[in-house]
Amino acid sequence: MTFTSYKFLLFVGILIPLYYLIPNKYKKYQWILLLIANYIFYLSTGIPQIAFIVLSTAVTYVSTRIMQKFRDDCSALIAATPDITRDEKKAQKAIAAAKIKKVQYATIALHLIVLAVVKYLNVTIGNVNSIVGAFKSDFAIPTVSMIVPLGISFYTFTSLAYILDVARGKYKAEKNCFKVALFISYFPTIVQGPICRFDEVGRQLIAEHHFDYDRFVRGAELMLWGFFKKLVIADRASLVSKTVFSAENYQQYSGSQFLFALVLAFIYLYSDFSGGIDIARGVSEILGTDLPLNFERPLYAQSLAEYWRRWHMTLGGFMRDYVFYPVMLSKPVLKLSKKAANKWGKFAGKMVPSVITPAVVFFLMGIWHGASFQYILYGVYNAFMVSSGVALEGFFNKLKKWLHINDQAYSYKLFCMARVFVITSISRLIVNPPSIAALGFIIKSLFTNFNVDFLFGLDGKFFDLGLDAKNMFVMFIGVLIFATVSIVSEHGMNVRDSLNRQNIVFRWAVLIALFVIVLIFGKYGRGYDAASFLYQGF
Amino acid sequence: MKKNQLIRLICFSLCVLTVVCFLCHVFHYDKARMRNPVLTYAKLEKNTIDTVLIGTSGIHCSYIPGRAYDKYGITTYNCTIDGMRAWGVLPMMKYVLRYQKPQLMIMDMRPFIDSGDSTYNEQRSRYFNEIFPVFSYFRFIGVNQSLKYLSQLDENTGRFDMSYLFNVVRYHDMWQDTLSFSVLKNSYAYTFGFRLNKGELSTKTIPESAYSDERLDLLWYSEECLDEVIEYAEKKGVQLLFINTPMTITEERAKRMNTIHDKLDSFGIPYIDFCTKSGEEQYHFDKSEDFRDKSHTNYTGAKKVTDIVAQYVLDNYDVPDRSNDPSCDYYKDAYEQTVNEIKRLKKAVSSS
Repeated sequence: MTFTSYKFLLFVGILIPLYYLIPNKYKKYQWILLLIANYIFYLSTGIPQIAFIVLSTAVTYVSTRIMQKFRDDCSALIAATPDITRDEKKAQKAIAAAKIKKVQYATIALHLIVLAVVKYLNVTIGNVNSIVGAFKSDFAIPTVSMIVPLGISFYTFTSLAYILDVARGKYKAEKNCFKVALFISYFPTIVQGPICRFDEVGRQLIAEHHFDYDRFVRGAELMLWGFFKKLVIADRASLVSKTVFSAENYQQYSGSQFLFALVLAFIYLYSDFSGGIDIARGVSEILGTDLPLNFERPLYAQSLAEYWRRWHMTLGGFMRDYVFYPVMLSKPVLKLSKKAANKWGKFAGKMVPSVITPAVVFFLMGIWHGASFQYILYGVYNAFMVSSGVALEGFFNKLKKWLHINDQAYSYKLFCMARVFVITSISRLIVNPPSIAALGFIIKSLFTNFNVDFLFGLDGKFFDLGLDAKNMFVMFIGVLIFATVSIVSEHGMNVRDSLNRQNIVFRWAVLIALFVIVLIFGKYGRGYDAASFLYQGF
Repeated sequence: MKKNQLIRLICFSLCVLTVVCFLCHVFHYDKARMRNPVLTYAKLEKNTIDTVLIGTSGIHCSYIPGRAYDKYGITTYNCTIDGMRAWGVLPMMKYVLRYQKPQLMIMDMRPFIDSGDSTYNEQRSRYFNEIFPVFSYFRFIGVNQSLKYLSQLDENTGRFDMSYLFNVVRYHDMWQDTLSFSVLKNSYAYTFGFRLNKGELSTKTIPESAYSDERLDLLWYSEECLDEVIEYAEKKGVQLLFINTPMTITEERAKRMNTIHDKLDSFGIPYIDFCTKSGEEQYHFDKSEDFRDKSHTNYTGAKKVTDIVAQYVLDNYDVPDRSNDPSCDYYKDAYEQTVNEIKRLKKAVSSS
């Protein structure tokens, strides 16, 4: 049941009235209906898959309850001993912390092992086979037949965030296992995120919700906007990127065609992912739960660090809280930093965590996207760019001063945005081709077989990349609308709020027009191999 | 939810539905052009139509209701759709009986001889379903009947695929080809379902082997639908007459037609087949003058078919002479308009 299927609309169309028709007297049990809905949604992907999410939930619940018990026992012991010294208190806490850590590590390891086996085992075997096979033709490790459960990366990360927060004592572990199950399996987030935190989303899910007309309207508007981005823009742009970067065809294209496809690949990725998130957030808003933002107009980022704060924000936030800071503040890194500072100076001391931490974060991010060399390269590239950004920050500041550059000028901001776009486009260039060999071919084509005529439509091949002129025009108009909304939003205007303040005729006309555009120009239904959401695969 | 919010929500939903209905109305294949005659049928004065013809373009290109009234005094109407499939016949019979009480239904044999091409069948079912407005009962039963068979012919077609009810949803991906504002055209409504075909085509190339005496089984769904049609007519007390309008016969079609003849004989249902060797000789069709294309007659051919069928009806059925019935005066206008249209077209053809 993908978000763009009729089944999903029917599912949501039945769930919402049922959810709000629960009498006030029984509203405290409203969440049970949501839990049932989550599992119905998940069951639609197949019965065997459900075992994984149940296992993940059980492990998460049991481990967090154990950790909570250690913490509570420690607190109770301290409270029951009035004459306890400070050192004894500290010792008791350390004992509890050590126990909690053991449970935490064991649980995280278990989650990651399941994730690794299910998601990466066969890909790794394939990679090993292809490498060794190049030297020894009869070499082949057999792959293992297994199902990759829907959204395993997302619910695993959601579970890990909950486990780590409980381990850190950020909040208490939930006593009711079904409420934990509700949080982990929340259907709008299971397909492609956003990755949620229990204190932000979990608590909202459990709370009672009364029908709120304004929320309903806002949620529906967001869903419609998500459908527009996914069905009108993304699924059109995907045709070009899939045609040009396909394993069978890539050799017949020139550098300019790769460049064009790369731009469309970004449009595809951004509108697909953000469209899916908008649908998820819209449904959730209707159901009374606000999900965190996952995108904040990343094209406006003026530095790479800012880009990662605007792009896939919940994954970025997860990495920041549970990988970046723990690694940066870990004893070995601090020790190394101190050593480097003593030996080579303050700058070197600063650089050690600035290099190690992004390297770890982006390596993990790369691996999270896929177990291929391209994703590892993607991680290395991004880590290198972020680290070198930090390393060269001082130099650039001096250069700006020396050249008298006004960094508040719009032209400079535009330059910075373009720079970030180019850097991130290169990272996408690494992962878009079907193989490392294809990547090499594409890079070579960019320099040796560019074909400028294509970009100006002089060679007549502009519409031979999977999209004819009419569809290209529809996509262009769609991108224009998307860009306009982004621009006004970046300038502080909340488009939904301002639309809802307009007169009813104008407001309805805009919404119906958007609905009609999606209805007619959207890619869905029979006969279409409507691309499933890109991040569903991660 | 407050009362005014609920009202607003309902109004908005109604607006959206209206837009969808309008889009469904304009968003269809141009082939669903026989919609206006079919829909006009429902608006005619009650109990003034004694004979209704149901079937494919074979009928609406070959039978002129205006001429039948003018010359023979009988009121007939073509409730026909391009490429009507076997499963479209029963819903159309139900539609016909909802608005008039004809004592005779003249059924086209062509819907029952198809060779099972699921893509073609899907497309032709669409023509049929699209003629009825969204949310109409007949669209619903048409879709239901189509899906009953299409889902068995093509695994991609779901039995409960409700998108068939909304052509703008179902066929939105064909927006480049199908956005047709023919809702604004009043096509063929005034001719009571006769559609004029311009031009001539010589069809003298039919090989002798095509006139086969052998039998070929009907496809399972054709047979099932034919049985349903006969059973329904019996239940409603309507007499049936089957016709096979002139076309370039092929060996396979001829064999299936023979099977239909046997079946009709077994039920004692009469039929007129213009495509057998004996039929062609008996009815004197000129293959160089009477055809517009391989499957349809032109005006000359249509006049011949109309005369033969109308005379047969007069001779064999107790249909009233309505030539002096004032409630049927509109038939005279219809024929006049048909003739004027023919004159206009002939003039256009000759001047070009």
